[in-house]
Amino acid sequence: MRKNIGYLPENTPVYEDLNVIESLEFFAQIHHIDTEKRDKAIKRVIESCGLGEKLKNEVSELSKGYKQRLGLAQALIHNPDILILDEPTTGLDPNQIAEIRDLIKEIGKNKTIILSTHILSEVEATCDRVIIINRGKIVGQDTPEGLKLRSEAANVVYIEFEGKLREAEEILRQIEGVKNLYKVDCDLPKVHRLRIETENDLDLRKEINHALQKNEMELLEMRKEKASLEEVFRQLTSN
Amino acid sequence: MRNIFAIIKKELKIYFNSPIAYIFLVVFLLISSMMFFMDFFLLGRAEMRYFFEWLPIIFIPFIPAVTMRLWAEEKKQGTIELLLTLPIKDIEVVIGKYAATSLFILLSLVLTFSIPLILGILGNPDWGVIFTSYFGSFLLAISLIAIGMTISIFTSNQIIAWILSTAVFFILLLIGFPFFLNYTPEFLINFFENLGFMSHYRSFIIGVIDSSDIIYYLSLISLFLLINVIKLDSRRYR
Repeated sequence: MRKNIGYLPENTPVYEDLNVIESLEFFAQIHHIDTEKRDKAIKRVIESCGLGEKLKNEVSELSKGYKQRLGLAQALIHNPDILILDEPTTGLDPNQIAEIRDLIKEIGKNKTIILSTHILSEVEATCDRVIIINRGKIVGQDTPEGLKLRSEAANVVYIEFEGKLREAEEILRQIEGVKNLYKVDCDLPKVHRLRIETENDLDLRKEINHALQKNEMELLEMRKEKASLEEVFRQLTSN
Repeated sequence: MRNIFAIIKKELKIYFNSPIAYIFLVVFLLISSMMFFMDFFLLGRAEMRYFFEWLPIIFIPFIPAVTMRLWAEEKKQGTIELLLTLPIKDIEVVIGKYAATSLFILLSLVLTFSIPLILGILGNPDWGVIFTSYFGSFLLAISLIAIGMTISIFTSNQIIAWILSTAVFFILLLIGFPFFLNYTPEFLINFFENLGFMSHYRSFIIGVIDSSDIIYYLSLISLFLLINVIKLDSRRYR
């Protein structure tokens, strides 16, 4: 079982007193990679993790980003089917974060990666499936897109139009699926803004457009509110 | 077996990649040969008796210096989590670390061979006694390593591991001395005398290999290594 898993714990534990090659050799030995295949395996992870220029450096001299790469290389040396990463991008600068994410995506093409994180933009950028755990219980499980639909914000449309406000509100209320209308402040003369809440999973943008046009009102802007994973996360875990 | 070798290799590399190993060896050799030559020039006899009398006292601060980092460092760096999730048995990790440190101490003892070499050139020493003395010192050293390693597993702070190990070694040395035994209740004298390592060490330096002394050391070692394995196992989530 443990042979099929590569694990990178939080805060990237690495042996500070070894150099990069020695570290990788140690992990290769522990995983019983034969001497002939060892050099190949080490070469492979060095390439895929971009460690080429740091081979002889002591680990204690490496930057946090390179330590993270080394941690990944150690976890990948035996070509495991499953890779478990615990907060792989904490403490890295934005460039390093982007590099590590690209690396994770690249590796994820052929392997299952289980990644734990609190950074939800990371989830959106790298993951195919999300499980939200609150106090040891699974509270949500879906694709990132699927989860976003659960957000209240997923059912909100903003419109900006020219015309009479009262009339427009009446017309819009008649559309099936519209739950609530709220007026939003607007500085422009004759222009009104409305926030329209619709029922779950209904996209009413077409209907709204038609209804307004039929009544000779000029639609200036319409946008669906972007649902964020943060909001879903808060909703699911705030009990 | 391969796992144990991998651990031994890793531990030895860590000793020799950092200055620990070199500083340890140089200072250890300096102090131990100083102890030898002080008495050697005074008495002018071709024997190493006083060297081996001093050796346990030199071990007291020196052995904790190599055992303190064994687990404490892994815990501090978090690498213990990595080590325990690899496909490797706890007992292999324990034996590997223990063997690496024992080999390191063996090396430092081997480096003192220049002393008997000088004796061989200058006079006619009793090689048998020198051999049993070295054997006894090595047994003593690896027992202390087992104890020091066990203390290291209970803390993530190397300094604490060093202080506690030194204190424990000092007490184990002290309870075998006559001035201490004079003040102990009579029924405990025998117990203390046998518990302390000096009484088991002295027979070696006068040239006697007693099986009861060997059993004393071996049981100390197995007991403390077992504690290591149990402690590692208790970290697992069930």
